[in-house]
Amino acid sequence: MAIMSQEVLDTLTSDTTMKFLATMDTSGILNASIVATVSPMDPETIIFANLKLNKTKKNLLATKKFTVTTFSPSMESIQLQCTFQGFQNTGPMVDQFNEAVYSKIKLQLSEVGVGKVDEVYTMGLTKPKTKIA
Amino acid sequence: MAHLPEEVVEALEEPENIKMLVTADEQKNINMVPIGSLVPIDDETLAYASFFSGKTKKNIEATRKIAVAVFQPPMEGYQVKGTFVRWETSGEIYDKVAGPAMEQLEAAGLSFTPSAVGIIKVTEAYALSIPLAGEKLV
Repeated sequence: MAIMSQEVLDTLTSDTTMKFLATMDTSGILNASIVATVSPMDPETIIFANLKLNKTKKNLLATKKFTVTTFSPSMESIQLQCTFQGFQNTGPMVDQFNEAVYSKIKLQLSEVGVGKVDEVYTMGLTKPKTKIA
Repeated sequence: MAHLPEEVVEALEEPENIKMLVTADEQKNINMVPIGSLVPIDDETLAYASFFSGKTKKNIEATRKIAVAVFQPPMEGYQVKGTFVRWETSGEIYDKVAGPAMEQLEAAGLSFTPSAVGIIKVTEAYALSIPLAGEKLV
């Protein structure tokens, strides 16, 4: 597991950061989604809302692996290599996250995906992809 | 091959939209990177400028499978899946893709020349924005 730095945590919680989530099925077919709700739960864990993540959900349950890449207005990106832990649909964390998501986009989530961060990379116009955790 | 709808072509043509290119290696490790140079050549072909011999290039040569996600503010998004066809290192397509990509970098004070332009044939496209997320377009 990797520990996300404060800079990475800040990037993930910023409202101006775009976040994308990629998965793969068991036959190697790739799938990319825009998942604006990706947020840190703690420095080793990220969570995201299931809002019509049909193929993503199937792939996560089948392969357990996913990648999140961010894009900031400064044109910097962070890539997180993650291992899927499961979906939760009840409990205080789900209630709190649902409230936060609803306040921003007025949609009720069906469940919350949880992933452990394995590796963290930075990328940008001025710097090549570099592992930072 | 599939023909992209006009709205997807327009989203891919817009340089301000955010585009991510997803590839994977043979061990199924997924790599997703922002790729500002990616543009449609026509409604069934994409191309992007490759500046470095990094993981994306290695993966695309090994597996030939890609996915692209494009976000168009405020709330539109599309996913395009495709198959890598070839690299071009000169000619009309190279100039069409490499020129604007180099201009974008120059505007940021950087000077790089793409080693090649990757040509991708479109196989499928999907909507990514709610409420249509996941709906197959072609």
